Amino acid sequence: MKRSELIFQSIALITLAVAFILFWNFSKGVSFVENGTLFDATVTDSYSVLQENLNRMIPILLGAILFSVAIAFYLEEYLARTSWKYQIIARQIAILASIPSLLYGILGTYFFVFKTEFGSFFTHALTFVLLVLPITIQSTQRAIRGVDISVREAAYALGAKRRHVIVHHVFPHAFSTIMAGIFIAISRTLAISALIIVVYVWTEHTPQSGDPFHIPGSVIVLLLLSLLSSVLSSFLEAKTNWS
Amino acid sequence: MQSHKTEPIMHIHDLNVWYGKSQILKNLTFDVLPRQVTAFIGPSNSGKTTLVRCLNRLNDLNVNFRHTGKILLKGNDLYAPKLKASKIAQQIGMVFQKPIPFRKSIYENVAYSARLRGIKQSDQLGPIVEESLRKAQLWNEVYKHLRTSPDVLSNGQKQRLCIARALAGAPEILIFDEPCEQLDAAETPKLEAIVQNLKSHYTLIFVTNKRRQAARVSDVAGFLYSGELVEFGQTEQIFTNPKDKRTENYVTGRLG
Repeated sequence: MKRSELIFQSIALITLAVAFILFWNFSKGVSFVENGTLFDATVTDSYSVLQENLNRMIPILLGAILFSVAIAFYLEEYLARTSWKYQIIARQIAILASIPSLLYGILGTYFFVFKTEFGSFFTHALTFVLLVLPITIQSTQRAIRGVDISVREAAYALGAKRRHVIVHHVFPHAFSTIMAGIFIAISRTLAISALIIVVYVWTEHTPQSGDPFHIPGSVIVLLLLSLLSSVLSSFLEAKTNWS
Repeated sequence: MQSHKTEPIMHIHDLNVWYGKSQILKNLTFDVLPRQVTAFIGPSNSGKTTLVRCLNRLNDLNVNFRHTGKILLKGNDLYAPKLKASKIAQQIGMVFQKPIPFRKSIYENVAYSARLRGIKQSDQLGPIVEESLRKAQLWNEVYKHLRTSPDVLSNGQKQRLCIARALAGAPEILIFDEPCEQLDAAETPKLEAIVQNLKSHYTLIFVTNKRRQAARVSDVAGFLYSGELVEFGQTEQIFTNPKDKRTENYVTGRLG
């Protein structure tokens, strides 16, 4: 590792740690608490509970995805790979993305839901965003980098401005790869959520009707959605390879 | 020849170019005359492509690019601080080695560059597309399926489509960067004929590593060798009576 890389890596780590501590203090003070519904999903008939959660999560999800696509385009198209901004932001994202999603799930549940004693929707959403963002940013970055430089050059040589090149060429070229990455991220997130609910239910509740492996209905729905998402992703991936 | 009386459209003075720490071009000085074909020949890695990419500011995309010296387009500094590279690219078109049609229909590919310069109405775009395709000698082959994807075209047709697309942007200068490199033998004469026809309306800069092609198409030629412009002058003189020993070795095939 070169010295400059070491410095960038340290800055990325330190700033992330500081951001976490700041957020930690901030989140203790936040109190727009409405009690979480996800962890009430203990009864088999809990589709409505899940429905409610999904309804609220979808705007968050869309927002997170748009944000991550924007970040990825900013990094890849507006910053030079050698600039310090690129180096630090990309490294922070890489660190966050490299943490196994199960850790996010468990730590997120532990810190944000139980320790702060406000199992609010707000904390669910934050854990979720933290889990999804780095993965989608990285996959979008890879998709953008996959667009051949010659396409960009051809457009620039005709007098296209940067925003034209992005909107008319890079984005359409990268679109299905970007979507494939996003669906993979969603799939992983849903699977982790399902797992955590199962563990929670198993530890907190005595099995009903003698079934030691009681699985709430919401978990099955989550797993099905996760499966659907990954299948969609593989289709999009195949489309990229064909076109 | 009338060339000595006409004002140069481009004036390059003492151009030095670096990518990072390595110097690619060294002290280049020459003029480009309007409505002529100026060819640059030389072995690979002699800096030909780097040179033409300075002329339309495509090198701006490379963060390691650095240059000194002046490039004047009709007396105005090409690298003036407030001048946008996209403005330059609209005046100076480029045809690349590899034909890259966009993922749009044949019509939209050509219309794209006209749209970039602000022409939006289809009754204006139609004639521009037709005229550009005719100038690129592709109209007769594609006018029946303008709305289809260019994927069905041959490599040579794709290259002519790229020429039409560059022409629809109404440039004054058109740069060809080794345009025949990926074409088969039958397509090359067609492309050379297009270049000859375009000469009456456009200023053309033609980069090639095929000596005889440069001799066929150009009026003025420059020989680049490891970043130096060894010789620059009338094509006939360069090929029949070169002043420099290295030029002589190159045009006779003993070098590169």
